[in-house]
Amino acid sequence: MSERNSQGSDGIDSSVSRRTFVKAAGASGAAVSLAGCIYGDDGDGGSGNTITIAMGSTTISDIEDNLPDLLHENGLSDDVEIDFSSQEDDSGAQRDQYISLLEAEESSPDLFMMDTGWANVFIEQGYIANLSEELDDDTLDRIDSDYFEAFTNTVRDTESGDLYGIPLFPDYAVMLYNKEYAREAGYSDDDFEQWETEPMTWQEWSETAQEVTEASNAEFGFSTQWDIYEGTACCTLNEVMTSFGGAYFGGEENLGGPVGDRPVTIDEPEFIEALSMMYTLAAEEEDENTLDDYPIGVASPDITQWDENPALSPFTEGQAAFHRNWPYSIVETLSGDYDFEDQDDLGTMPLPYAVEDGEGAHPGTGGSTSAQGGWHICMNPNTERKEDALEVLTAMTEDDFNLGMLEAIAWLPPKPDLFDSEEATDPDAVGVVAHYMNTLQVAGEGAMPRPVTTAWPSQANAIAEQANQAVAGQKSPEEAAAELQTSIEDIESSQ
Amino acid sequence: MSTEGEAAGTARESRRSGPLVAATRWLENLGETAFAYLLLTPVFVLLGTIALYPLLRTFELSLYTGILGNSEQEFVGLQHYVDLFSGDANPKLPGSVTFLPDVTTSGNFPFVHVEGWARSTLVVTILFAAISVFFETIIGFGQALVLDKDFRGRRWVRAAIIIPWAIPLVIQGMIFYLMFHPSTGFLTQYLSSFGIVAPTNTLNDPTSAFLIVTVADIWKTTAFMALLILAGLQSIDRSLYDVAKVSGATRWQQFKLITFPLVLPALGIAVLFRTIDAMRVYGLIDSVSSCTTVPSLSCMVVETFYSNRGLASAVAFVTAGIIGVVVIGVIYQQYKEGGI
Repeated sequence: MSERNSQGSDGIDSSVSRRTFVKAAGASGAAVSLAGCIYGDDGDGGSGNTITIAMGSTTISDIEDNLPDLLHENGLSDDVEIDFSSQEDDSGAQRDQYISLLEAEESSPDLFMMDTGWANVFIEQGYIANLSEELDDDTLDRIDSDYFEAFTNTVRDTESGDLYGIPLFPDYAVMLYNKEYAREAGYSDDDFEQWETEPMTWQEWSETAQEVTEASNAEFGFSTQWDIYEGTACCTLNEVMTSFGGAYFGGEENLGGPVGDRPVTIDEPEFIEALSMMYTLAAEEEDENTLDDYPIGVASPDITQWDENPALSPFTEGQAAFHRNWPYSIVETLSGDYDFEDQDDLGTMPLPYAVEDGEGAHPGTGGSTSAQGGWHICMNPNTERKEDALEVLTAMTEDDFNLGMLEAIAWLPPKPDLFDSEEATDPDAVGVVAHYMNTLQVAGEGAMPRPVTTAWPSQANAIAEQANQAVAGQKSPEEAAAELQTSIEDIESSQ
Repeated sequence: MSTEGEAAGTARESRRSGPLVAATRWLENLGETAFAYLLLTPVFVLLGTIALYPLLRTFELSLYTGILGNSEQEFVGLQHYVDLFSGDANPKLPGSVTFLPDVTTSGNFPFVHVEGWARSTLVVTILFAAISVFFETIIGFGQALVLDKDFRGRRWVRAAIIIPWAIPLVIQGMIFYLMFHPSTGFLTQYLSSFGIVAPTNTLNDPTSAFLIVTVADIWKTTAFMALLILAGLQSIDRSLYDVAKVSGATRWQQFKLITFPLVLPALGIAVLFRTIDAMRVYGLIDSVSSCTTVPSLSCMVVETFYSNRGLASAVAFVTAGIIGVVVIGVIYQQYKEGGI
């Protein structure tokens, strides 16, 4: 999955300055932080008091103006500067770069931003520092008690339970829509209020999307991501499949394995129907593989070549009426040079579903489902500035840091109390993203993690390939499901 | 006096029988060829170290499983090679990509299961190399023949031919990517109307993507072939053509009896270079399409490198072996024909 990117929203600096300024130990009291943000991609560290954080290049451009200030406001010493090591945006490519750096025992970067989808690989290989042995007890207690447990577990050792990273933000996909187009189709604020928290069925939603498209200037109804990449396997297909009651490995209980000793449940009606629906939505004409219950051509056929940003552009430019993406896209849509000014123009809703929650064929399936994404910050065990790095990590656990990043780039708080807090839904406190927290909360309740195991990278590739070809019409959903079943069984048995 | 003479004689004798004298005599007695090889020895040692060490290290890595740096590496001997050539490695490879073609399923084409063959890195690489080198040779030969003629504006034509080759690989890949991407592409609709490429999902369609990558490679590297062949053409003694004209030879006869035979050694080298290059294709695929869609041998190495370094090393070593066989075959052929 690509590390999602967006443009930083305007007005961030002023909002950050409204926050309570937490005096750092030994700070001179100067109101202006001395922290610099030196953009660099050499990752060769910096001066004595510089902590280098590795992350995707576009993420750096999104947060470089906010993150250092927020860290200093939340306890990081003023003499510790923050530098960034620019990595590839593609999540898989980032993972590979990190492996190379850590295998070579490089001392820099000091910290790494890691995808929840593969942080466990680094834990298993012993590449990253055990924070249970490094952080102070207060910080560890705060993480134990305040953070989403399931999300935090994705950066814990499965056997010892030791913590290997600070959960930075969970990610839940939502459906964005153009309110102006919806109004042209006769929908009103009452409808929008209902859509905000009450998921529609795929059938109802697709008919609505078709209706809105026909009544407005939208060229098509729906843009999403269905390219051959991790995001299709972990997320977009996972969401649709689960909402139809299907599962890759027989349900939620088998997500973490054991590999080779769990059922592969791909060549099943729920999976095939999910693929068939997506094919129908993207099809240009009716054929033997389209479903009668859904309108043809609601989605652009180009979804099979889109990942996050290519799929977002048609929506922000007014070509698409509805769009599935991560929370960053809310800020991106409202902060760009587009017609979306505020919450009156941009609406969000939970992703649609096909069968009711709990009524799927497998445990934990059914209902509106958002893929569980998210990112952590992990520490390089070879860092030469361990104390400063730990200070950065500790600052990242402060509530004001989480709320600051929520406002800056819609990084959702990794703590349930903050997620549900009044502050998170107060536009004066966290900016425009507050208007969308209701939807994000519903999305979070229906989150489905990807089945991350050592076999997952190979499996994700196979899944994305077959799902892409089925929706592109290069093979029937039945053929794709049958081939994928065999392929995944082979991978399972070869581990 | 006599004592001095004896001393001088003894000294001369000792110099004659010293190691330096012996070495000098040995060198004087060496044959021309042996002496030449002796002078080349330092270069052989240097090249051997630079070229052979990585290859041997790759082979060593292929004997282990697990990830480099992981203490749990396990010696598995030649198991990775057995897995590759028996097909047992296929489930460990990304997506549906295999090393050898999957012929276990019945085909929709006489004798073969097309998709099974299209997902084989070995088949895709050989096919890519064969098609691209064939067309590059034909078109490059044509371009070289044109450039060999003296005409007004020849410099400009030469520059125009070289431009695609001068463009960096990734930029060239992006050009073709953008030409066929749904957001920016202008060729997809036109070419799909003739059934040449898929109308949608073009860059993810194995056949379309293979075609686009191959054309991109031909467009870029034909100039390289043309320049090498041109060098061969310009080394031909022009008086041979004068004699042929006097003898009444037609243009075709001149080409068949003078140009082609005399340019053949240069052509052989050019084909060899391009074949080696084509067998290693990776960057172009990665920038135009993806390794999942057009899986080459190098793609397989990269894709499996982080999940199974031993297997990736085995694929890399096999690829080097295939290229080595091609090189040795061409050199031997030229040696037999007296070209070397």
